Amino acid sequence: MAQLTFRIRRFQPGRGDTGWQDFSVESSPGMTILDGLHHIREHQDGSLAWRHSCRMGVCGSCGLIVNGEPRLACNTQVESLTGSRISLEPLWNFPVAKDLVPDLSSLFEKHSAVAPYLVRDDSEDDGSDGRELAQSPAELDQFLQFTSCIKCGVCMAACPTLASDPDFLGPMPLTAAYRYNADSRDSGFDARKTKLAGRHGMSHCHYAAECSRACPKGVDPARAIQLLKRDLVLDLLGVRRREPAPPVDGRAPRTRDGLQAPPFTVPSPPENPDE
Amino acid sequence: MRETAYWLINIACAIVILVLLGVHMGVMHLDAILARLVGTVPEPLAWENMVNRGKSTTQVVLYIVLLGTALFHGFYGLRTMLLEFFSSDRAARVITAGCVTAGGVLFVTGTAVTVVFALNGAG
Amino acid sequence: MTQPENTQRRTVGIYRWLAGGRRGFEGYLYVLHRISGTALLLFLAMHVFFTAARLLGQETWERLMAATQSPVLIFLEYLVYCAFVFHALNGVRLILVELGFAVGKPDHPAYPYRGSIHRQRPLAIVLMVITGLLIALGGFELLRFPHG
Repeated sequence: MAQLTFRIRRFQPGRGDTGWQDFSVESSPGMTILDGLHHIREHQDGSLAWRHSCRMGVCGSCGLIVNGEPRLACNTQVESLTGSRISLEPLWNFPVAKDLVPDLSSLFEKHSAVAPYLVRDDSEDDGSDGRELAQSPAELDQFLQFTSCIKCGVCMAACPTLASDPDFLGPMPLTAAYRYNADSRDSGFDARKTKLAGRHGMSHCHYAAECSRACPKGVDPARAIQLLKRDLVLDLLGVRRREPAPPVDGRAPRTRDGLQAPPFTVPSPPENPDE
Repeated sequence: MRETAYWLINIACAIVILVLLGVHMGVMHLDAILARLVGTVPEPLAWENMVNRGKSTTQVVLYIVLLGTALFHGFYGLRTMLLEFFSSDRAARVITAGCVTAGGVLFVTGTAVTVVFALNGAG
Repeated sequence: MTQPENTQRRTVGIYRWLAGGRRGFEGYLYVLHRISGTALLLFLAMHVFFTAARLLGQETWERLMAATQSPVLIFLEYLVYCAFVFHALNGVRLILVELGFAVGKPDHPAYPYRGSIHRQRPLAIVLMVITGLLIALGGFELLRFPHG
């Protein structure tokens, strides 16, 4: 078993950047960066802070910079890295709370600023009447790729524009906006337009493609942003083809005979069988 | 959607520049290669040839178009970069005004020189 | 964006454009595009004022043009040419990509992930090879056979 050096950038609340600290960890087959961090906290330094939840690339909590590249700690096996020294830093382009824990509030603020949900004129159709908004597989394919985002912030750390402009919306919110713009059930394009085409919007993306290179889920934010730009240009020229979101009544109702689905009720527990 | 419009004009300028500056570069700087392809070409920096170019209406119009598009493209790009470093609204106004002024001064200078030379020749 | 309490703002800025030498191919093209663009704008500003010397008459013009034949200025002229060739050809790719033509349609996110980067990479490589050839050709002509 090879001996690895985990070189970790430490930040303490109140004291700021306290520099790099080395930890020696024995590597084992299949070991991830996250396993190494657990090992350090259990055996060497209980004060080391990082964030994780699911350990399997789903929750998006454990983004950090591994050897100068933003990645998920749980998704990165130490054997896939060359060399025996692994440097770890908190995600770039975010403030640091402690050690490897970035403060992702700006990510979520920007995300909610682009209205990342279906915007419809017939807002009373919230599904409470038991009908659904039908969509063809082809329509789904227009945005399916961009729904895989886990909001881990890895693309935001990779983005060179965010490195110089902290107010730039960034890859993740722009992709979230395109995901809804491209949804056939949505009609919120105009509502999002001001923000997307604003001074910190899409015009600051120049396809460095670092976000797509870094994304652990294959979301390809750079593709979404370029498609978003095309839509904004077509809209400016007045030639953006867009059918209005189909009305709820325009599609087949949920049940076969046009009946409403029965309201969902929690079944009452069975009577005591002994009686 | 002002930023989208600026961006689109920027791209349109890029296409114009690609053609005009490509020709300009080929004629002015790669004359040796051009000579090999088409036989002899006039020495671009010689006084008489420069005067001939400066007196031709087509040339003068193309010069001014190239100057205008290149300045818009250049200062739009510079503004984009500066806005990333200074992102407050006040800074943005100063940067935009600065870019418009600098671009305007250069455009007026270049156009005036070209037009005066075409009409009067060297003073 | 307000800075939350009790967090440490990290230095951001121009040096991170390079990301410690760990950017991808397109990432470096992005940085070079900005550098070459800034250089070309500086040159354009100088160019407008220097070519105005033709208003001062034949003698001044010829003296100025003779001065541009010094080795240093020929090399600088070559650098301007290189910046232009790179900026122009990389710009062709950027126009195609940024208007959504060279990035492909949304794909199903399944391993192995092959997104827009792979889609436009051949274009990037071909254009950069042409850039290299034109820069070599221009170097041959501009540096070896200075005119005048």
